Amino acid sequence: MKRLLAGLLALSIATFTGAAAKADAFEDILKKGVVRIAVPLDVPPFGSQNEKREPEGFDVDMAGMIAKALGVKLELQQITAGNRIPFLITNKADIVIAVMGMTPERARQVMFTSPYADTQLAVYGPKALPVSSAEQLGSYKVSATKGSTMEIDLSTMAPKAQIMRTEDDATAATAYVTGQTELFATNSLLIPDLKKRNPGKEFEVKFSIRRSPAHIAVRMGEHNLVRWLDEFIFFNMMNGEIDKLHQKWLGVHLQPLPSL
Amino acid sequence: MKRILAGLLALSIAAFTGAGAKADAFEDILKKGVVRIAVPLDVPPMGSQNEKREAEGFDVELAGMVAKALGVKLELQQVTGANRIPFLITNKVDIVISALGLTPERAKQIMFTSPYADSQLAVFGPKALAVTSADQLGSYKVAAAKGTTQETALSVMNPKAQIMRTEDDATAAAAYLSGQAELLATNNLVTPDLAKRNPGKEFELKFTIRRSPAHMGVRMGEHNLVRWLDEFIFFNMMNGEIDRLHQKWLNMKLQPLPSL
Repeated sequence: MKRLLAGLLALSIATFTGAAAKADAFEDILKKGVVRIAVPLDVPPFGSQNEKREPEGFDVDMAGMIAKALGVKLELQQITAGNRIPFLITNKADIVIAVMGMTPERARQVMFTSPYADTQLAVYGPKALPVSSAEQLGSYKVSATKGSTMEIDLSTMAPKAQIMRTEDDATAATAYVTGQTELFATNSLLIPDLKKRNPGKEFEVKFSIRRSPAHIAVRMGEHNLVRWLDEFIFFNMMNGEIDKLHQKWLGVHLQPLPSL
Repeated sequence: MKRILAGLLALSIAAFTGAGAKADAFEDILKKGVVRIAVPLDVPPMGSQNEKREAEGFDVELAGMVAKALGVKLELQQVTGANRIPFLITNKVDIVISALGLTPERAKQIMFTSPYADSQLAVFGPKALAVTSADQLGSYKVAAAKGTTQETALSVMNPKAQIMRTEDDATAAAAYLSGQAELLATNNLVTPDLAKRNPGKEFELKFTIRRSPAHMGVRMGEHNLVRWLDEFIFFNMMNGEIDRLHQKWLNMKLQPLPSL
């Protein structure tokens, strides 16, 4: 009898633990009336602090729209690029909206929605410079962060390109701003802020290296939540709201973006 | 001891039954050999009854294609606009195919597939009327059902528009037909039928308010079923069958439609 009892007890616990582990983040958010969304505050124009120290940007606006559509209170959490994925995995946030690019490697740890923001890796330079493809780079120097996707792709596109490989994005930008290089390879999302800080310098897209859209991320296995976010993105693509965010924060119209 | 044992036994059964309630609708459909699909019979050309009182229309034909592709018997159920979502939630049907538009609010209750029919909310009027955008409405009266997407979106597009707000779509159409309003804001899905029933009246599309595609709906959490339906839709987009349905029932070619 004792053994039977122990067996049943173990069975009950196992079943309940199994059930608890299957808790649904989407249901929890609606039940608690709060959604925890992590955004960056160091990546303008996606997330930064204005003069009143209030968060603002593309990702911050998106977070607000999501909480409103869910009909729940928004709890914003600040993250950096380094802790975007750990924040999700350790359940500090339900959703990460942090201008995150999707890779199969990252998708082993978290789940991605369809893209919500169109950004591209591109080569920038002054308007007058006659370059419109990788083949036309000739002897012009291009600064790019060592090991970044743009540096690697650019080397493949033009093996003879004169690439000045820098330690990070800020150094690559500085090399271009100070005239050490004639061109500069980076993500289009950094351009509006660079333009604002360097009004005397031109940042024209000379050619695109590749598209690199931003996606929202949730914890692995949260299928109801990821589906709702895909539906939310679809709806706001159709009604033009996501295009409005592109115009407001990136200064461009949204080009048709494939879904997942 | 016996009481504890009985309690634990009950707990185990309850926990297992709980797990049983999470049965998979897709698996059930295949096992039972029957799929229950809800369609409208009061929304031509999506669903109506012909002279022989047989169900017909875009949604009815698509329901038949879904059952055939699943290799199961089709059990059609009739729904109205108001009970489409309740029918799903109370498990009276497995799938709703009923000219259903996606909204984040509805997506809190059910899950949507990728869109299968392209429809748009637009303003219709006589060919001779010189209006091609919301800004050109001037003093022309536009009939629109109160609280619908077309009414609210049109008010935003042109706050000065003379909108005659009616109780429902039928009343808005009647106002246009009787000449009380010069224009009519509605879904382009309903204008072919209106044109057929009112051969003396013109229904030219003057300008689009927004695209509003139709999606299938399934119960929240039925991820295997929603995925299979997405795959079914993709396949029939590729082989031209969904375009054929657009031409047959909506008298238009399918324009590229984003997926979810």
